[in-house]
Amino acid sequence: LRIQSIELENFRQYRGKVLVELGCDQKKNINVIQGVNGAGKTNMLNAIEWCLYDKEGYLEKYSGKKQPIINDAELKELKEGEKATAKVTLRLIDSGGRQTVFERQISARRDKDGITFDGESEAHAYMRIKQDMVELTEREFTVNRILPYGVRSFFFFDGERLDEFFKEEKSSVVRDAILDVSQLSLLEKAIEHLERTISSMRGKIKGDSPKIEDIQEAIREVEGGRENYRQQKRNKEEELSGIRAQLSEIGEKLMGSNEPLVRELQRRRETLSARLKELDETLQDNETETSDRVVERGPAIYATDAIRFALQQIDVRAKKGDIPPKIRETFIRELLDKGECICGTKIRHDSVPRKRIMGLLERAKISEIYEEMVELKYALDPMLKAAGSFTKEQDRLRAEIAGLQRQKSEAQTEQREIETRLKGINVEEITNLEFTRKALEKNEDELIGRIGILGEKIENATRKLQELERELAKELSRSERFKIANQRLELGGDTLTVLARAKEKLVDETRATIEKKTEDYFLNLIWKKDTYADIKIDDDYNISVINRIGSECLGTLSAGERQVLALSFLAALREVSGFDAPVVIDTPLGRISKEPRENIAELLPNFLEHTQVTLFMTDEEYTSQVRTKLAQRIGREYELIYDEERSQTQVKTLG
Amino acid sequence: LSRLESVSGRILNEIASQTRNKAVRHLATEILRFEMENWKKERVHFTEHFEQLISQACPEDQRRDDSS
Repeated sequence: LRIQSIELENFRQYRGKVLVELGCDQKKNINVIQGVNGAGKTNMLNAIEWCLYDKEGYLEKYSGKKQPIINDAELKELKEGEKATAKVTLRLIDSGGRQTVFERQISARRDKDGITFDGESEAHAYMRIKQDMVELTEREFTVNRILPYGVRSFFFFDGERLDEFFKEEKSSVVRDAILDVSQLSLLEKAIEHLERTISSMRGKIKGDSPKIEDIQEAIREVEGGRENYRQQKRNKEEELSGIRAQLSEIGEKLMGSNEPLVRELQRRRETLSARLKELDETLQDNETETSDRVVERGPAIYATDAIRFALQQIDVRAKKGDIPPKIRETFIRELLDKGECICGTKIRHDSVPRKRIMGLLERAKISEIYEEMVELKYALDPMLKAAGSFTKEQDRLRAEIAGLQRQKSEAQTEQREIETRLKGINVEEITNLEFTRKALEKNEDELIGRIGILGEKIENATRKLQELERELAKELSRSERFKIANQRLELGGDTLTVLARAKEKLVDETRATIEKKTEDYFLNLIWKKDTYADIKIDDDYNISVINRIGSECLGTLSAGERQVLALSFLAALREVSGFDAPVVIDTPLGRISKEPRENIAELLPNFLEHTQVTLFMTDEEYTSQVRTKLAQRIGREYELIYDEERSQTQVKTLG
Repeated sequence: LSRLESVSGRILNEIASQTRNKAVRHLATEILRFEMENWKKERVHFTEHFEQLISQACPEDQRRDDSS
C-alpha cells in the first residue's frame, strides 16, 4: 500500500490548497520532504494522522500548545457570515492498483459574536471502482483494515523519540507494542471481560443454603481485595516508572555536563549499572540452579544407602544366575497344575519330581519382576552417580556464586566512590543532582519491594479464589436447582483458562519472533560487524544487546547504533504485524552525528525494502552526503518553505 | 483475508489446540468475535451478551431447550 498524494487545504500553516504527490515506484521507494524546523514537516505527519484517525499524535512536539487546525490567517480574514474549512485528503493505492481516498474536514463560521468551530470533523472514504468513486459506508472499518490506530505508531513515527523503547521505565511501551501488533490485546480484553462476567454470574446465584451464601460472600471479599491490590500495584508501577524517568533524566543531565570529569564518572556509573544488572541476573540463575539441584537430587541423597542396597541385590542375583531368568514362573505353575512335566514324568503330590520342580519355582519367581528390575537398575545407577557428584557440583556452584558476589560488591563499592566524588565536585547543580538521585534510588528500591509484595498478595488471593470457586461448584452440584448455573460457571471458567493459556503462549511466541527478527535486522545492518552478537527481549520486555564477549552493552551504544537498533525493532514489529502500510518518519537522523548519519541513510532503504518510505528531514539532516547515499532510491523530493510574512508554508518540488 | 482476520485465525487455532471441548471452543470464538467487533470502543457493555453466549454454549441449556 502506498500514499499517492496528500492534499492539504487550510490545514495549520498550509493556506489554500497544497498537493504533495509521492513516488509509488517500488525501486524508488523513498520520498523526501525537507524543511527547516517550523516549516511544517511535523504538521504534514499530523495531517495524515488526523485524516485517518481524527487524532494528531505529534502535535505538541515543539510548541507544547494546541493551535486551531484551520489556518490562522484564513480565520483572521473571515468576514461575518463566512465559513472557513480545513481539509485533508489522502489518496492511497494498493498493489492491485485499487485506489482508496480518505477525507476529513472541519469548519468554522464567523457570526456577530465571533468564530464558532464545528464540534466534530466530517470524514469520508471512497474507493475507485472502474471510473467511479464509490463512498464506503464503514470508513472506520476500512481504516482499521489498512492500519489500526494502535499499530500506527510503528508506521508513522518521530525519529527523535525512537530511543524511548530502550529506557527501563518504558518496558511497558515494548510490551504494549508487542500486544498491539500481534492483536493480542483482543485476547487480553476478552479475558478481562469474561472474568468480570463470571464474577457477576456467581454473585447472582441466590442460594437457599447458608453455606452457598457464605462462600459467595467470601468470594466477593477476596475478589474485592484482589482488585484493591491490583490497583495499588498499578499505582506503584506508575510511580516507579516516574522515578525511573527522573533518574534517566538526571543521568542525561550528568552526561551532558560541561565538566569532563562529571561526564566520565557518569559514563562509568552507567557501565557499572549495566554490569550489576547482568551480575544480578547470573547470580539469580546460579542460586536457582543450586536450589533446584537440592530439590531434584535430595531424594537420591537421602536414599543413597537404599539405592546401593537395591543395586547390590540385583548384582547378587545376576551373579547367582537368577537373572536373566531361564524359566518363567507361570510356565512352572502350569506344569504343577497339570501334574505332568514336559518330558512326560508325572509330578504327583509329594513326589520327588514335584519337589524338584517346586525348587525351580522358588528361583523362577524373579522372572515376574525381571523387567522391573532391569528398569530399576537403569534408573538407580544414574541416581547414585548424581548423588555422588552432588557435593562436587554444589561446591563448584557455590564458588561461582561467591565469585559473582565479590564482583558485585566491587562494582557497588566503585559506584559509591563515584557518588562521593560527584557529590564532592564543587558545582552546586551536580551536588544537587547527586542528592536527588540518591533519594530517588532509595524510593526506587522501596517501590520494587512493595510491588513484589503486592504481586505475592495478588497471587495468594487468586489461589484463595480458585479454592473458593471449587468449593462453590461442589456445593452447587449438590442441588439439582443449581445444576445449570453450575455448568455455566464451569464452562465460563474452562473457557477463561483456555483463553489465558492461549494468550500466554502467543505472547511468548510473538516476543520470541520479534526478538529474532530484531536481531536479524540489527546484526545485518550494523556497521560494527564484529562487536555485537545477540539481541534479547526479556520477560519484563527490556531490550538488551549482547556483545561478542557475552556482556550486555545497550548502555554503551552510540546514538547512531541505538537508532539502528530502534529501526530494527520497528521493522520487526511491522513485519510481525503483517500490515502492508507505508512508513512516514519525522526527523529520522535528527540525533545522529555525521558518520553514522550517512551509514543509516545508506541502510534505510534496506530496512524497508518493499515499503514506501516518506522521510521528513531538516536541512541539517539532509546533507549532500545523505542525499547522495539515498539518491538511487528517491522517488519524489520536496522542500517546505515557510513564508513568515504571510504565515504560510509553500511546497517546492526538487530534483 | 485481512490482517485482523488472519491474526484472529492464529488465536483461534491456538484455542483449538488447547482444548477439544466443542462448547469451550465455540464460546471462546464467539467472545473473540465480539471483542473484534468492539475493540476500538472505549465503553463496551459486555456482561449481558457474554452471559447469553455462555448460556447458548452450555450443553445443559441446549439439552433443556431440545426437550422443551
